[in-house]
Amino acid sequence: MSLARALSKIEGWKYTSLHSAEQTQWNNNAAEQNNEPLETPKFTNEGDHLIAQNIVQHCDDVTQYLLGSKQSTTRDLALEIKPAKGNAFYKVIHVTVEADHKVTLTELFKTTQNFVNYLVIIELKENAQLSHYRMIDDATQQSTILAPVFVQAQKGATYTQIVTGRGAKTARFTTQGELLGASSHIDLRGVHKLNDDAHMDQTIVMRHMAPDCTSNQSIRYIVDGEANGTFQGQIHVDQIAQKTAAFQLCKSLLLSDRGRVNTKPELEIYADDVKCSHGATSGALDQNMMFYLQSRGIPEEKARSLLMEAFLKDVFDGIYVPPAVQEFVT
Amino acid sequence: MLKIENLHVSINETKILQGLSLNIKAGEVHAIMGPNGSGKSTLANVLAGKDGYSIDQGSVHLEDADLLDMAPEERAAAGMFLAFQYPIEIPGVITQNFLKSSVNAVRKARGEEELDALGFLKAMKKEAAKFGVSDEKLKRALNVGFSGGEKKRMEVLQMAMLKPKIAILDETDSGLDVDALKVVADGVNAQRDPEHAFLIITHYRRLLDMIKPDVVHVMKEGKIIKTGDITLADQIDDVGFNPQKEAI
Repeated sequence: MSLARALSKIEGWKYTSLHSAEQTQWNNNAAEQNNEPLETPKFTNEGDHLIAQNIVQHCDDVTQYLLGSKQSTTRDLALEIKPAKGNAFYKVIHVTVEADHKVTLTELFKTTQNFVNYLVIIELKENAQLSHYRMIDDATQQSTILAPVFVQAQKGATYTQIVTGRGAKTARFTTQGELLGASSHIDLRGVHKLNDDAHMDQTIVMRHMAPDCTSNQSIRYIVDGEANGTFQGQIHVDQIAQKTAAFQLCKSLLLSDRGRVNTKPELEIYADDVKCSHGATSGALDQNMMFYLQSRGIPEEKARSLLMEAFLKDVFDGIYVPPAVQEFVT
Repeated sequence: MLKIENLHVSINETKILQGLSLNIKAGEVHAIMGPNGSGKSTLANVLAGKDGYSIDQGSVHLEDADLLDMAPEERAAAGMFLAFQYPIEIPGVITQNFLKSSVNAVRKARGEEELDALGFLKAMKKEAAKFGVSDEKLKRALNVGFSGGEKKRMEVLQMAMLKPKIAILDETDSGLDVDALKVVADGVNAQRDPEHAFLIITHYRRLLDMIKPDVVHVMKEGKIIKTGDITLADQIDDVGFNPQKEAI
């Protein structure tokens, strides 16, 4: 059975389809197969696990990055994600951040009619900190991008992620965050401005496996035209993960009648001393705010853009965002 | 300057304004008093151009401009300003950025040169100091977390910066302590000159004592039922708005 058909039977893939990607002739042009065995990280969502397996099987390139170690001179990593040859690619990167180090990983998805299959595996040692910025620039909105992240945080580690852009033809950015060590923290933010028939799917599985950990998921969609934004956020709190604080919020602004946003929060809590919250809102621009701005002489278009910008930037509350990422959002 | 003739306005078939006429000349300060539900805030909103009202009859002119045909921002450019009864909180929009957009949009529409960053900051700080608006507030999101008094100060600050021909203050005095009330009154009095006019909508006379309007109207059931001078406000204080008690 094709991967697209297998996925179409899975609940978590209701809003994202690979059928059209599968019907396209992609040209992989892989150099030579590298048969170094790599174990697929265990994504708990069946569909994302299939995707990860598929990437691992097809990839000709597993790059290891050891950030913060004495041997490496690399502190911060910036990658441009696009096929070197052909129009499709399969790639796995494995990033390890050494204890007590603080680094950034910046990815620019610079795609034009590409099929991107890109798996990122991240290990954060004790008290390591990684800020991960994922910017999607799909010029023609003809690409399919599958870019799952599997991240494990040891004691005291912090992982912060921002995903932003205008979506793609089909884009699924899954993140599975595993809080394995006490007092670790994972904070995932996503902000997307979707026009025409753009698609964006942020699916998150947050697994609290140790006490005193905190996590946050904060997503914003502005949807116009016939675009489609999806947010599926799962929080799993293990029995031993007491004093967990886990939050989740997805806010959407719908600018057209035909735009769609699908949000699905799921909480699975087995510990008794936890603070968890989830929420989803969607609506049009606030007419009272519009009137207030216009009554002060601000033209309708400018008032709209002020409110949209405010809506988007609200997602960055409480975290540092580099200027390049800020600019990318607006 | 502002001429309202036989204005009929309804919301969802419910008649709110029923033949209201009002003529405010340049340099005059008018006050409208009236009980809750008499249509005062509807009048203010209709003049500023808020959606959701059906104008069934009548006309409103600001000098030669037909206001009812104009978008809210065009009215602002033409010289209309409404100080809101409940100023809107706008998360994510920084107050001073908003002020700059507002001032420059109006200047541009009026054919004046837009202020550059420095010129704007200077002008803003001068007015902000007058109305006791701190730098810290100007750097925060518009009206978010401001107290009732702070929001009203912000309204008056905007009024001072936009220099409207006619400013309508919709119950700007409600919920204000004496200090804040004085700031509002000072703001109006400072702008009072032969070119500017004001319409003060209020329940209470304490603001009117500080502003001393030229004309006081009593509004009831969607129209002006009585017009006079400040002594009308005294009568209302004595007998309320109930016409059965006295001839108001």
